[in-house]
Amino acid sequence: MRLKRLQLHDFRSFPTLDLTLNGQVNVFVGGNAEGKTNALEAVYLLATGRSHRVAHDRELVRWEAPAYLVRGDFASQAGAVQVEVGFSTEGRKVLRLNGVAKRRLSDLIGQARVVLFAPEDLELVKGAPEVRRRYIDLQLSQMSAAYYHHLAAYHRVLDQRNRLLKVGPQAEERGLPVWDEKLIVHGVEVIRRRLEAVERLAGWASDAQRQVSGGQEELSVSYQSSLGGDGQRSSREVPETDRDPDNLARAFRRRLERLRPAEIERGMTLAGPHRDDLRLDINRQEARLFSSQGQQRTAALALKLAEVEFMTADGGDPPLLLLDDVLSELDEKRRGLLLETVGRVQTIITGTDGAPLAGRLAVDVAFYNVTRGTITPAGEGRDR
Amino acid sequence: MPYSPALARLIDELTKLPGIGPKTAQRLAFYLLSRPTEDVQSLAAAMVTARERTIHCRVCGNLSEADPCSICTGDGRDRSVICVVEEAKDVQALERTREFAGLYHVLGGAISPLDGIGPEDLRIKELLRRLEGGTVKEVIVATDPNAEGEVTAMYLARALKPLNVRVTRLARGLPVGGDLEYADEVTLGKALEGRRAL
Ligand SMILES: [Zn+2]
Repeated sequence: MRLKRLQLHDFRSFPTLDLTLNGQVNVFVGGNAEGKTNALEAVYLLATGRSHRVAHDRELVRWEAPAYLVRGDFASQAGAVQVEVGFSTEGRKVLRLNGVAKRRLSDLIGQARVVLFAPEDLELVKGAPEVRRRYIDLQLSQMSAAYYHHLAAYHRVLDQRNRLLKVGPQAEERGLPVWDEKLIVHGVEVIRRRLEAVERLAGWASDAQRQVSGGQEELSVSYQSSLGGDGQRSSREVPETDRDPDNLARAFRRRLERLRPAEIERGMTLAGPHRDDLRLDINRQEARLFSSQGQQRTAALALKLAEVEFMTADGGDPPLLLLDDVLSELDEKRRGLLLETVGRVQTIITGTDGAPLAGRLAVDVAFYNVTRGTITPAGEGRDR
Repeated sequence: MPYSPALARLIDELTKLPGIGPKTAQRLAFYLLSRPTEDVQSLAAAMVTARERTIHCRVCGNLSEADPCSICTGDGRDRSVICVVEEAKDVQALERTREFAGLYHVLGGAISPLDGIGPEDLRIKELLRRLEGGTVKEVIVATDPNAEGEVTAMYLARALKPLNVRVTRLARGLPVGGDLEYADEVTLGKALEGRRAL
């Protein structure tokens, strides 16, 4: 998949922008606060329907403008695809696919696919479980409309169920058992697909870790489910081999039964995919707690590279790789491995200068200068 | 310059309507002011009359001017089937299809804790009472295909289980005339599930 043309209207710092992307690798060079990350954010928005930096669309509208629109023309395996995401003067989200208005995000998500690697992703290993859930949810949502559907439905049911639990013991006769069933139906679909994804990601990620560390570091990635054990999240993992929906549903139901008094007391749902995590070990020790910062950074990079492999596997349309200011955060060895992947898929890189790339890429590289609200080609050519 | 008090009040009232933001309210208000007085009077009268004359049918809960409504008292309706819907507007939608000749039951919403709506806030007891006579052989649950509608359907299925009536869920998914090729995987999956026993 390639992004051919990006148009912005009153988006962030850009009044209007009409940019043709020429290179397999496109480098946006500019000072801090000049808007290079905004351009990357726009591409991310086209793939996922939302920003990776702010929760509300209104914040994406240029200062004093009433509305914004982002339009991307992509060449995918299926042909030309145009995606538009915006925010109307009436305060409504605008979603269009090939010029046709869409009501639901699920009609749009995954039409364009991206893998974003930003400095905050270096927190993937030691950050909160939520960061790792988002890592897995974002790739699966882009790859499968069914996954996105079940995930969104799960969260809706979760909100409803949490509210119901707050009424106390009467929750039971006010419909709690049917909310349980609904939670289980969507939850099982989410867990099942996550288990399968993690099993595959684990292989690519540990290859990458081995490569950077010269075979010194063995990374293992596993899914840690909140369904097993006696209440402690870390007490037991659902066996990775057990993705059978009936078994998962049974485990989920048993877990909810056991947690019933605690859930009613605390007024919240205590088990399910919203409390699951990825467990990362390096050389058989939990990386979050015992690994060095260098090892953790390598593992974060390894997980991101695995994401690209996963989305490309099985004849999938290769995603766009978005590297937001991360090259300067990585040392020589790690940067080298990342740049091997760059060039195999279309890539957009932002940075304060092009130096980290000098002499590193053997593909078409196009440089662009980003200054207050404009992006202009800075000369193109083959970088040797 | 601020609006005159009368105009400001009109905009205020319009803003209270669902789906109407301040901008739309302003546009509507200016439009109304541009019309002849008789037109605006006629609109206001229509709103008041509709509100005053419309009541809920005591049997099915549908909106009606007669009680019971014309569907509940109508000849030629199949009294062995009841279609359960969330809102009166769903009755209108189903009637327009001319495919269904049974009776209806309007719940008055769907179970939604976030909106403070539990099963006891819906017209479920009234439904159970209608089934007591034994005339009704099938209940078709046609609640919305979202989380709240699905949960309401499941709740009904459980509540009706002891009564020995057939409970089915309306098949949904593909729009009529929809092209299979363009239907996404979720919609297709749902359509394949079809109308099933609950
Ligand atoms: Zn009636």
